[in-house]
Amino acid sequence: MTAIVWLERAHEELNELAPEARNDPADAWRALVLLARLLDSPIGSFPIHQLVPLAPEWLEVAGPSDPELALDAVADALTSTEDPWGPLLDGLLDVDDTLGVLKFEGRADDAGELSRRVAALVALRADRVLTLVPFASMRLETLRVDSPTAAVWGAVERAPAEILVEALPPVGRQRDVPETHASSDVTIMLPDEFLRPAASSHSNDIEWPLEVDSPGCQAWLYEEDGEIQLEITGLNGGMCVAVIIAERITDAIEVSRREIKLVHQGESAYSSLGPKAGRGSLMHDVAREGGVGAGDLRIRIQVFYE
Amino acid sequence: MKRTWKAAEVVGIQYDRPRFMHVVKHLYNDRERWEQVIPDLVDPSFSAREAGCPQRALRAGANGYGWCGEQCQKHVLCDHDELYEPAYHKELVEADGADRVGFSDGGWFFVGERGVMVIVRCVKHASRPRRPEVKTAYRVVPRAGEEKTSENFYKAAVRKLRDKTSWMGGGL
Repeated sequence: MTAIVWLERAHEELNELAPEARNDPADAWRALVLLARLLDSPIGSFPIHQLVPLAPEWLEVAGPSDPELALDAVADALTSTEDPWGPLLDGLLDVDDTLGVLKFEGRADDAGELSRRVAALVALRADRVLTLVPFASMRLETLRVDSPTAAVWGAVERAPAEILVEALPPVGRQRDVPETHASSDVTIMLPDEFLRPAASSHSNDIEWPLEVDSPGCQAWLYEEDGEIQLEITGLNGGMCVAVIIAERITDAIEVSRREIKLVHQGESAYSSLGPKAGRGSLMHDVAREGGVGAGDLRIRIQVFYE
Repeated sequence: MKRTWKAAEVVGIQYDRPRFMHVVKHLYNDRERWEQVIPDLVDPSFSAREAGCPQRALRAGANGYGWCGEQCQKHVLCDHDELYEPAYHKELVEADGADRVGFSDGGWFFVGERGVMVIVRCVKHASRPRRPEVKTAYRVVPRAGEEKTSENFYKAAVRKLRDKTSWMGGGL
């Protein structure tokens, strides 16, 4: 499927809306948004110029745009852990819409400001927009390269590069993997009482949130069918190795470790840690191999990027 | 992209922490007006605070789950089971029947007649076969200045559905 299909659908919708858009603020706004998309596009040829004189009336009915509100919504969604194709993409689309309408309002400076600020926010949370890259690439095909809207989607499209740069070690420092860890690796502490049941819904799952030292990452343990599962979100898309480590509480000296297999699915990575206790329990095996009493140990999981 | 499953086979949002987060971010969000979707719903966030949920925990989203206290967790998760999940599941089934569905980037997007957007993905967990699961469900809030009628919520959701999925063909 292609960008031209997206524009063709916009054109069809605009033709349906145009005759009555002056009667409703929501329809008037939508008509302006669709008209802006088609006027701004360097591809396709759509007979819309007869609709341009209707824009001032539609502006009157729709009411003014609100760039700050659009920016706030994106900022809020970037800090969430929700599916990026939900409120986050909605927020970016609202910014896109607002940028189109600001042009009709003659507010080019406000459009430039909104575009720069959103692009900057996106660059700070590149991990959150990674899965939106295909949409961004499609949208960029429908935009002139120098448009403020292109700057926003360009920031999304650059997300994989941003994450790669973040994961690189500092120049001049040799990184030993996996004996030491670089600042971009992830440390997950397992609390001593991780097996304590939390309040639960009717699913009967036992779930325990974990302390993670990496911004943007979250992790938790949950029990499923008698096995303890580890789930981590927010890891970047690169290759990584995970290790479960037992260390002495008194001096943080590592006493044993085992590599664990991470399975990546969408935004999450999973690993089964075996049963809660007894034979096959990975955490108990690592603790036992340390040769130190369980009360003198703490367990952590280290994720190393390769 | 062809779907091999029906809406009735979709399982809800998994695990307590994401469930907690979605309830506080959406069901308890006054701007989303869930009383237009759930009959007799009256200020669920107020009820949560009355039940002992600290205001900060309700504003903290998923991060609030870990420290809001067991009583608050129980209350919010009960609202998930009794209110939020049945509401979005009903919208999901209705959207499926009306073919108000789009596809993009491995996700299926449904918009119910009351303007609830539900995103479903096929997910594989360690010991389970791949299955369709709800990843989020929320109402798309109309612009400031537009009346917050059920009709306007529906319009806003359908327009977002088109914008997110029409480039993949099919759908609305």
